[in-house]
Order: sequence, then C-alpha cells, then structure tokens
Amino acid sequence: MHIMVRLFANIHYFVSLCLFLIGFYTLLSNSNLIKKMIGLNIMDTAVFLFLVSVGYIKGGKAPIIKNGLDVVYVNPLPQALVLTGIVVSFSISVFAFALIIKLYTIYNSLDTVEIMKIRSKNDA
Amino acid sequence: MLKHLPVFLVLFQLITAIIIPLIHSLKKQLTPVVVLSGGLINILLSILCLYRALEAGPLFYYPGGWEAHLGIAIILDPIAGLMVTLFSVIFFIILCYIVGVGRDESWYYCLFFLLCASMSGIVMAFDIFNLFVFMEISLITSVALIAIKNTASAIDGAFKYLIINAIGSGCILLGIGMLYQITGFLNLGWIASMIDRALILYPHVLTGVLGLFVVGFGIKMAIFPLHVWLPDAYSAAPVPTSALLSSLVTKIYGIAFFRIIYIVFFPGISHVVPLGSILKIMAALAILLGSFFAITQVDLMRMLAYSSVAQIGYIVLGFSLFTGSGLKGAFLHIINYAFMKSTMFLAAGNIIRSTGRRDIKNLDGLGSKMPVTFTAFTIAALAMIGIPPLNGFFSKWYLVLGSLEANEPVLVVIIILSSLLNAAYYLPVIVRAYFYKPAAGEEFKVKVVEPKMYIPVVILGLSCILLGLGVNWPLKVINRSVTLLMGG
Repeated sequence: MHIMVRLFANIHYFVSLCLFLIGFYTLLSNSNLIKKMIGLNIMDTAVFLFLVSVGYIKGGKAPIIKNGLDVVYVNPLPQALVLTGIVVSFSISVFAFALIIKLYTIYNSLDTVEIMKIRSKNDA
Repeated sequence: MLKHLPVFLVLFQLITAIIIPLIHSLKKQLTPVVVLSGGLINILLSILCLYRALEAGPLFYYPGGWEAHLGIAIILDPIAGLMVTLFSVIFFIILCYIVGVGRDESWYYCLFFLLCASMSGIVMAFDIFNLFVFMEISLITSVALIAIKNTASAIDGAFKYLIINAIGSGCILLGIGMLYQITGFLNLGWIASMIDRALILYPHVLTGVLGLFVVGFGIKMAIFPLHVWLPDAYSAAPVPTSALLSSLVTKIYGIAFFRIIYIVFFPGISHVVPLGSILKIMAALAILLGSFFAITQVDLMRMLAYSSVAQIGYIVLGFSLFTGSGLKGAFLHIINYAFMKSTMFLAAGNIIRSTGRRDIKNLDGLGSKMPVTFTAFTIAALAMIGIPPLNGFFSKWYLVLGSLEANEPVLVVIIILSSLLNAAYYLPVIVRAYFYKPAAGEEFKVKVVEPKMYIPVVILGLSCILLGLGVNWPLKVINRSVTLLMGG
C-alpha cells in the first residue's frame, strides 16, 4: 500500500520511464525505418517529460519576478534544458529523415531487412 | 584578451566554418588558402591554450559573467589544453591531405571546422549539459561528414551511425536529468561537492545514472558490445573523415566520460557499484575480440575500422585501472594512437586511390610500387604492434605498469596477447606488399601518387618515430593532467 501511494505521488517519473522503454523497444524491434524514428522521438519526449517534472512545483507560477510579490516559482532551469533538448532532437530527426529519403531513392524500400537483402545481393 | 581564450578558440573555429562556404561562392581559388591559414591559426591558438593551462593551472571561464552555480562553466586545464593541441595538429595535417586530394567542396571543410569546434567544446566543458550540446553538434557533423560521399554504403553507414548514437544521446540526457534531480547542479565541481550526500540518500538513482552513462558514452566511444555502428560507418566514409573520426573523435568522448567519472564519482562510487571491474572487463573483451574481428577481415578499410574497436579498449582499460601509470598510459595512447591511426587511414586512402583495390590479398608486391606511402604505413603498423623505439610501445608499457600497480596480472597477459594479435593482422599486409610477387595475369597499374598527397602521410609517420624517441615531452604535460585527476 505504501509503495502504491509513493508511486502515485511520483507518477510522472514512472510514466516517463515507461515511455522511454516503449520508445527504446520500438526503436530496436521494428525493421521499418520510419517506425524506428518514431521510437526515437518517443524516447526523447520521455526524457523531456522527466526533465520538466524534475523542476515542477505544485501550484508554482512561471518564473517571472514581479516587484513586491512573494510567489512560488517553478524551477526554470529544467525548462531551459528541455528547450535545448527539443532543438537537438528536432535536428537529429530532420537529418535522419533526410537520410531515409536518400535510402529510399537508392533501395526503393524502407525496411532494414529488405535493404540488407538487396545489399548482400549487390555485394555478391 | 587572454582571459577569453577558451571561448575565443571555439568561436574562431565556428566563424571559420561559416566563412569558408561564403568565400568559396565568391572566389573559388581562395578556399584552400583560407582553409590552411585557418588550420594554422587554430594550431597557434591551441598551443597558446596549452601554454596558459600549464602556466596558470586550471582556469575557469564563465560566459556572460554568471556564477558557477547559475551559469555555464568552461575549464582550461592541462587535459583540455593537451587535447585541443593534439586535435588541431592532426586536424591541420588532414586538412593538408584534403587540399592535396583537391576536393572542391566547401561544405566538407565547413563541416570539418564545425567538428573541430565541437571537439574543443567537449574537452573544455565543465558543465554536463553544455557537454551534451557539444556532443550532439559533433554527432550531427560527423554523420554529415560520412554521408557527404553520397554512395549507397556511405548513406547506409551514416544512418546506422546516427540512429545508434542517438540512442546513446537519449541515455546520456536521461542520466544528466537524474543527476540534476538528486544533486541540484549541472556544474561538475558542484555535483562533486554534493555527491557524498547523494551516495547515502539515493544509491539506486546513482546506479541508474552510471548505467545510463556507461551505455550512452559506451555507444559513442564504440566500446566492445556497443561498437556495431563503427565498422560500417568508417569503412564507407571518405578517407579523411574516417582518419579524423577514428583517430580522435571517439577518444574525445572517452576523455569526457572519464572526466565525469574521476571528478564526480571516483572514489565514493566503488562502494555502490564495482564500476572499475565492469569497465575493465568491457575493455579486455574489446581488446581481444576487436583484434579477432580484424584478423578475419578481407577489406583493408574494414580491418582498420575493427582495429579501432580494439584500440579504444586500451584507452578505456588505462582509465578504468584508477592508478597513476594506467592514466599515463591512457593519455599517452590517445596521443600516439591519433598519429598511428591517421597515418594508416591516409596511407590506405592513397593505396585505394591509386590502385582501386580494397582487398588485402590483392595488394601483393605493392611495396616497391608505392614505396613512400607503404613505408609510412609500415612504420605506423609496427608502432601499433608495439615495437620498442616506436611510440606504440611506450603507451603499452605504461598500461602494463598500471595493470601491475592495480594488482591485475590477467590484464598484463591480455595486453601482451593482444600485441601478438595486432601483429597477426598487420604483418600479413606488410609481408604481402614487400615480399610477394603479384600472380601472373594479376599485375596491375598504379597511378602515380603526387607528393602533396603523400607528404601529410610521411609527416604523420615520422611523428610516430619522433613521439617514440621523445616520449618525455608529452609525458610532462600528461603528468600534470594525471596529478589533476588523481588529486581530485
């Protein structure tokens, strides 16, 4: 019972860990290149959820200082990290999709297994 | 002015990267001049960095003037100075080679300088998130440097590189988040000051962080079970790219990883996780199996790529011994290896370019036809095996001493056995080239290699000998770095 209560209080960490593993599994188990990329994006999003929830305070306001008011602020640093992380993950996704387009024009397939077959046929 | 040196170095490399395509579009003939002078100024700035670091000890720089616990910290210590200098020298020689080959692509130079900037950023970062951002820049630029060849195998290798390294990045970012959660800081020094409390309160979270870091950095360093992306990428990439990536980039990740381990986790972590033994086992497996894979390869470039897997094992082994000599060996091997491997990749590039052959068994009798290139290749291969006057011997010597200091006689056996294995895949190439005659009907034409293409290779090969004879010079700087890391 005690464990359940603590788990419920920290549900966002648990969810982000689950999402991370789902993304990881999708990335490893699917042979379709687009699905691999979707898995990678889920993984990155899970990390962002984790980072944002690290800095979140219940009832906290946006960290903008107004004169004379004593308000509880959420921690702005993880949000800045997430912002940078989103930019990084966006650029990696775009680059990967550009490479996928190239691979598709070369092999006419998006499936890694088929691409491997075509490659080994070309080598032989 | 001198105060801003660390930032100025990275900024200079970034600005050069942007200027090169602009100049190329305005006046094509000027591009090589700008590239080479950029490389030279880069060397001068890096040597100045090293000099400052040795003279004034570790220097901290805070961009924007924010204090360490709020802002970003950049460190200029002997390790950073040494790595920046090494990187700029190898970088310049490889640039000379590219100019000699006559690649008319301004984007290639641009990406090279971007990669250089991100490498300097990684070794000087004292803030883990800053480190992460620089690692992502280097990931994207190195993938672009492979994909720029635009052949089917290069695109394939580049995609594999990108997606597997992106998993590593995700793991590292999650680890950084967890470390921030339990310590409240991103600055390595501040994390280290909080780590004792965290070790008592959250040992399981720290175990998770370490696991994520080992997997993430392990993928980026290509340590043995996580090396699968490396051979495809390096064998398909353009020759200068594989020379630079193999000789330096993966090792710089190693420096970043072990800087975190030494500053933050060492020695308290050993009560929670047997980190040293895990890394030692991974390194030993990498050394042995990397060499075994290399022996079975028929393609010259793939053989060199697998040999990289084996060599990163030595470096990880040296760092994970946690002794003075082991650390000396690791740093020395990073320096020596950079010269040996770039010699071999560039020489192999010359061989493939002038014969059009990649298979080892087709290289019979090449030694007399390409004497200069092959001499450089031979010197580097002998250095890699560890023949005494050459530089590879000294790094292995210190690694063996370190293993003895750490009371690990098995590792000594592994290091000596692996030298034998190195000989087993490098010597056949040399013997075939010098002593075999090409079979009847198999004689082939060799295009003449121009001096501007073999001079960079010769310079690198000679520095293998020079670094062997003058091993005391790098050791002076390395000793400072070692006391810095071991002193905590």
